Amino acid sequence: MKIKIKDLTKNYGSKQALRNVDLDIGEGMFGLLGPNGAGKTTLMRILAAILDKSSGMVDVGGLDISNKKEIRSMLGYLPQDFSMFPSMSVFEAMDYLSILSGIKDRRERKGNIYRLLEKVNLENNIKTRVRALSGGMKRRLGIAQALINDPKILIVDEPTAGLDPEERIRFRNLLAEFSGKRVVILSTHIAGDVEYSCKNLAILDEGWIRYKGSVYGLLERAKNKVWVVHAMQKDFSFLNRKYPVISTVAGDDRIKVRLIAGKSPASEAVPAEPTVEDAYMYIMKGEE
Amino acid sequence: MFIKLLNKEIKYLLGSISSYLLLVVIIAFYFSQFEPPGINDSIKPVSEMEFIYNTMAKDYENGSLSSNIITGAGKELSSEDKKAVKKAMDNMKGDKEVVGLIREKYLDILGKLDKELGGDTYYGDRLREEFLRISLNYGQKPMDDSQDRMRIMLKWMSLDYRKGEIYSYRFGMARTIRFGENEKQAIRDAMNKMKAGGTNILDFPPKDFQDTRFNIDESEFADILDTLDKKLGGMTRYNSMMRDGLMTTSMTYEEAMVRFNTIVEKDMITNAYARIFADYMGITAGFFPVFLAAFILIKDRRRKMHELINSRKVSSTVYIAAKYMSIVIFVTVIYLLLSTHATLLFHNFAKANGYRIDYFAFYKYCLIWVLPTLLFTVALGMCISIIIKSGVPAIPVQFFIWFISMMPLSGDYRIFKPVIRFNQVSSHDVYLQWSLAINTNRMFFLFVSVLLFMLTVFIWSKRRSGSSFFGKGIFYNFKI
Ligand SMILES: Nc1ncnc2c1ncn2[C@@H]1O[C@H](COP(=O)(O)OP(=O)(O)O)[C@@H](O)[C@H]1O
Ligand SMILES: [Mg+2]
Repeated sequence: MKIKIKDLTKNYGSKQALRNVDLDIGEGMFGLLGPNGAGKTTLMRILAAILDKSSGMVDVGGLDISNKKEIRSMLGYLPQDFSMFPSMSVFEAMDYLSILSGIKDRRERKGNIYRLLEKVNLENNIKTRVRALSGGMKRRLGIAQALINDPKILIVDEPTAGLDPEERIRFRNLLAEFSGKRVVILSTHIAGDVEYSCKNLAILDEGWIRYKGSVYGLLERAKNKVWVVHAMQKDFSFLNRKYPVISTVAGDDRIKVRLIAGKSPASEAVPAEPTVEDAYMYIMKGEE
Repeated sequence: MFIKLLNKEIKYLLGSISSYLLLVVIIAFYFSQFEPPGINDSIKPVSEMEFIYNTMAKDYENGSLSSNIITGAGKELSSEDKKAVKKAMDNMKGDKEVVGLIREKYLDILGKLDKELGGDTYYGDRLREEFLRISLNYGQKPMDDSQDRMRIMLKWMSLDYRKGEIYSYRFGMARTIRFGENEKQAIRDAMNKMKAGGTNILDFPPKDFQDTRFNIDESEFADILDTLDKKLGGMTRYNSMMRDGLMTTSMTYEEAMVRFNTIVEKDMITNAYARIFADYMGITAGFFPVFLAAFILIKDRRRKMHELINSRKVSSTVYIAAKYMSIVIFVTVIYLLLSTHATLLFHNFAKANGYRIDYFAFYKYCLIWVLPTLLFTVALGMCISIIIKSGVPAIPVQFFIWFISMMPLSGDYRIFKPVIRFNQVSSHDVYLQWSLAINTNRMFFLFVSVLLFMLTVFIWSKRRSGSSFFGKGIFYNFKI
């Protein structure tokens, strides 16, 4: 299973949301990283066959994306912003969506739903109304519903948004566990989400692909570009103006500044091992 | 997959308050409008002699004459009087039924009775005709004779002219139009055209124009009335939708008997009543289901569930059809239950009175007359809501179409009228003159419903893959 995207463009009226995107996505977890408005949701909607492209080519496992019914039947999608009829119970919502996914047999549906709800730790909320679910529970229900048809391709759009750190880790693990021989595409604007779970990623910015490849390759790119400076207060504002600052930690008299620079930004600067967040920042801000 | 989905949709429908409101409206409409004969009622016309005989029996029983507007308060009957009434009854009945009585003998009996009761009762020659006129009503029928039709409308013009005002039912509510010089002139013109230069009828007190002859034909007559209606503000009694109700005349006993026999034999009673049943149910089907239809597709997006649905394998046709049929089935079941209720009432009635009925009549008219209306209402509601991306606008649109379909009460089945109005219990023979128009109308709406359904599926499937087909919807931001 492989997804091939060639020269993909999407316009909303005069607004270009995707610009000549070329991307190959293979099995395993794939991260789609980019700030708000980058075009992540647009790309995912196109892959989920709920949005027509403007031009270009998308091939999903040998099928052109225009074969919507076939594509949809092997796909699981967790939208960024979704809900369900609030008066439905968790089970009813899952059952309804199972039918829409074409699972005819009642017992098969039921067994499948219980198994999935257990997997996302909602087994005690089977009868809970959707309106009574917390944000985290709703996300987990979202994942469960995306897995109903045992999809070969799973597309999850910013699933960790609004989750607390612990939930976020659980969620990533859940996806990683699921991925196996499947294609799992995860979008996020938080670099940390990609760091431990994805082997490959793409960075999207204003509709352009800024980086595609392995996480390792991304870190390589940022090598020797990340520095830590223990700066005096007066030097800090200078550094902040000149270099993209990733993070700061205030000390007693000095500030520990982590920043991106092509070469040593100050005499006391020490090079640091880049994280994915550093590298993402480097790609977005510092490469020029 | 369709059946499973349909099951679900019906279940959700049954869980919504709007469905119960619809249920209540339909049931309330049925019980308040539809009047089947009670088990002890007679649907057979009562002849004059039978009626008089029954009146005697009642008077004898009550010990007094009935009170009425002709003779005033009922007079107490002494034991002598009662004896006289009893004797008259016995004489009327003889050894045969009352129907066999010879008229001379009947008049003779009544004359004697009147005298014995002290004169001036409703049995006497002087007051009897008047009393019968107000007491015996065999129903109305359209006037056949053009001259009579013209006469009655001329009379109305004269009355309206004198009164100086008229009601207009333009937007469903009566509104008084007071005449200015233009309106008065319009009536004068109409009257003159009808009279074709006769005497100035306006100078006389109201009269029946009994001797007036008209030299115009029916189409000139219709033109005159249409013009007058327009000049008076529209939807007045002269409008083609309203005036037929005025140009009627009382049926005679003999005519009523013919109608009764046809209803019993050809309609097996229930077919005649099923038509008026379908009339009332059609009124509900022509509007109220829009409250379900207009929101059933909009809901997905409003509840932010649409992407979960859109990305699934289900075909657009199946998805829309399940929603469509859920409403249609839900409402149809209500109609079928009410048909069953009506059938049971008629079953009891027929058993008590020795008639045979058609047990399928109510169901038949439900399916042939009411169902196409329902299919249309639901299809249009869904279609408009999906085009506009908002449920509310479908409601006034449906209301408008429904409204223009309400008048006249019978007889107009042109194909822009989704509701079949048939507000009369009439025999098969009356129905026959319209059956072709009605069937054509039903076929048309069936066809239109299918088209609207297909259009809905088409638009939905386009939207499903994010097409901005039909724009973002005119009322995209107008959410309720
Ligand atoms: N339906 C739409 N109509 C017009 N513009 C849109 C629409 N959806 C998204 N956009 C625009 O396209 C760009 C990309 O949006 P999106 O794909 O949602 O980005 P992301 O998911 O990365 O935040 C944004 O500028 C957004 O405003
Ligand atoms: Mg997004």
